[in-house]
Amino acid sequence: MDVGGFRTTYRKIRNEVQKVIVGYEDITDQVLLAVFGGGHVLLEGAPGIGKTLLVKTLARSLDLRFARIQFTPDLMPADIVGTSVLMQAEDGHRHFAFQRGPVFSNILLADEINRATPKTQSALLEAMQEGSVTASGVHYQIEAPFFVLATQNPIEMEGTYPLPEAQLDRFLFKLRVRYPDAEAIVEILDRTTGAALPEAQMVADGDTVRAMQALAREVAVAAHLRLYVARIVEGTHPQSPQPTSMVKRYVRYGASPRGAQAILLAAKVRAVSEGRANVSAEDIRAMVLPALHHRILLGFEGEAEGIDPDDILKAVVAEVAELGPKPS
Amino acid sequence: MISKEIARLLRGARGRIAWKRGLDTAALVAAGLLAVGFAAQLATLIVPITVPLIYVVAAALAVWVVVVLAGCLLLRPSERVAAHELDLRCRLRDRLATTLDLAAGRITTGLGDYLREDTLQAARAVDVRAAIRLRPVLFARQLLFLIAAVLLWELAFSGLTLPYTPARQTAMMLQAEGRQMQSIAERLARQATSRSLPRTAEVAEDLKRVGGGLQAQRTPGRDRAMAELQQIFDRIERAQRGLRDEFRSRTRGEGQRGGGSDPLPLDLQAQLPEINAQSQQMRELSRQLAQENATPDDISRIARVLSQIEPNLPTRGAGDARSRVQDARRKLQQGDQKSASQALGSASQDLSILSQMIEDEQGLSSAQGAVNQSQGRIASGEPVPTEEDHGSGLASARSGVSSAPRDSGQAQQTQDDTPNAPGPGQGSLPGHGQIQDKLGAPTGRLAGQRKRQQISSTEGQGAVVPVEMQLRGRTGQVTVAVRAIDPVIVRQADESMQRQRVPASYREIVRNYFLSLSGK
Repeated sequence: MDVGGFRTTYRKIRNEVQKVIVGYEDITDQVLLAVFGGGHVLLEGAPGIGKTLLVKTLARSLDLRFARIQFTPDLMPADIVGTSVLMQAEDGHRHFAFQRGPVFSNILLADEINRATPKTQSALLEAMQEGSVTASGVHYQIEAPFFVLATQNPIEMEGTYPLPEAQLDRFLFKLRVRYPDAEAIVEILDRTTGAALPEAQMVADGDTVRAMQALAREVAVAAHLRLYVARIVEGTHPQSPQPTSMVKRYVRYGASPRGAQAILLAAKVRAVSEGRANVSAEDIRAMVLPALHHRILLGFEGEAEGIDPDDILKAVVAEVAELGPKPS
Repeated sequence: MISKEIARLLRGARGRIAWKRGLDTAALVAAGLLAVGFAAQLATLIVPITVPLIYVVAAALAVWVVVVLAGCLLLRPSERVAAHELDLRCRLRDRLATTLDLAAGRITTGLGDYLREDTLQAARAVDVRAAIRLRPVLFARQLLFLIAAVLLWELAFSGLTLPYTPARQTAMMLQAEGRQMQSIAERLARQATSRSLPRTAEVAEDLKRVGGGLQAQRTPGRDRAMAELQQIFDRIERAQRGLRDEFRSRTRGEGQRGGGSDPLPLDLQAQLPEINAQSQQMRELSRQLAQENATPDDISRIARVLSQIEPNLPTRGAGDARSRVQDARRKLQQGDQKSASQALGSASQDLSILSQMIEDEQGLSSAQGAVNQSQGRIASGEPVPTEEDHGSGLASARSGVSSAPRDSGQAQQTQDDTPNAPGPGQGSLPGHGQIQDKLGAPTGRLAGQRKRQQISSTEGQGAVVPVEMQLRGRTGQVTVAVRAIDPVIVRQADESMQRQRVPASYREIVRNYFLSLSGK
């Protein structure tokens, strides 16, 4: 796989998804960036706006094993990870065998993830971070690539369990899916209420996706841009040397180093998807909001005033100047 | 390793960036300087300062040039900075900077070849001149605005002052000085015309011009006024040197020696009335001899008069006057009246020239004194003395030029024209006291003719010429209060002054103090 091949494949996948999904080009792009960056995505949006369809379409365009879990309050961790069941062999010998749960897939759709209890949610932690599962003391590796594409509904808060910070941090991106505009709704009606429903074609397999992921990590990042990322992440902390007024006032905890990793990984994928072998400052700026939105913990004042973390991040990006290379 | 093409591109970019930085910095510095200059110009409305436009603009220009050149040399960016600059300006998406980092080994990637090729392709489309334009220079508008403001101010508002401010006070002082100077100039011009003094006439014209300039509504400012006065002063000095050279050339034939720029001898200046009288007398005698009907008695009387005049003739600067008088006497003895008359006429002419030179010298000296005093007053911000208490410059101008003997009527007329000169040490400032303050009604001493005296500046050298005063004394009885002074006190005072180191100028004060004790 070379840069040209990456770009071509990326565009093909994108086009296939766009055949089914109307609008949401930016969301589609960001989901793909997360996929090729090897990260997980949390899609947040009202019901019926196509979150699940987006994930299913993406899974269909990639020749990967797809699994879907509908999270409910009574969902148990074993329902996700799998469980050991007593098996009897032909010779009558009985033994426990591990029955793999839906997590053993390449693309896992965790629908309405915030409806499950924290215990069940945390069952995903190891899988998301390590790409492996431990059950009954046995360690099981999940075949790569492995993505968790979770959705959650921000409206119905009753009977939900907000994701803990630790788990939120494991998502590369948190994407907020907006309502489509009237034009997009008309297009949706045209596509979905006719006789023929559009369907995405498979354009890449698991090996291709793995190769693309590996290639994305090869993308070069100049020293001053690495510093730029670090300064942006540092700027989200109220304890930083020169925090912006919004950060100082509304933020309780800033983004973690994992946030910096997320920015840079996604920026690399963005760069290579545009046919470049180097990250630019523009790539970094484009990735700040989706990568850090869910990593900023607002303080009391921020919560009380309903401050949008995106506004804080925009202020940070505007404040943190892109430093040029140091004269050498 | 970076390719030669990219290296060349970066070299060009570094040069252009250095120029750009130099120009921008220079414009900023020059604008700052002009802003300060303009602020200083505005301040002239209130504060009596002079802000010469030429200096402001020249300084801004010089600083601009120096900073541009220094900027080109010192503000040359590194390759990485130049690469970053090109990345930003040409939207190269950080390709150049990343490639440089790759070449320097700061990053490792399996896509190095692709990155280099991609960067090279992108760099080929870069036009460094278009990317890093030297224009527009930062702060260029501000710079132009400030230049226009400074020039406009100089043309339209320079010299204006706000009322009730120190600047207005200075302007009024300069205007008063100008009026005073013009008055002196007119007086000098009148005297120069009446006595045919060419050098004094020229200087009077200059003084009149400067005085007129100082009186203008928009005054030139203290420094410029001082500069103009200095020019006048220098011109007067040149005229004096010319005059003295001429005098020296006259005295050279007489075997006299004089200094390079020494003024005409004081004793000679003191003889001016006598010289004028002698010249007049010889002209009259010459006229009498020229008449055919002169009797032997007349001739013997004339010979007698000539024998009296001859020893009193000035010893220097009179040219051949003495020999011509001697020649006239010889011719008279020989009975050659006509030749004697011609010789006397020539001698009278010689004396007349000498008289003219002396008067020119005195006129120039008085003008110089007036200019000098004006300079001193302007420099110190001292108020201009009124016509009544006008100081020695005016007095010397009057007394110097018109030093011919006058009768009391003439003196009275002069007193009407010009105020009386104060005596030395009168008033609150030396030379500027008011007569009424100290002396009551003017006395005849002040109206009297004072002869000019000068003491050589070298200690122990030069002659001290006593002042000869023609006075009208105050009549009436003078009553002096008698106070008994204890001789013991006087002795104590004298002893005290002997013991203590009392400066000479204070001894009188100390003595008076002790004497005052005796009255208590």
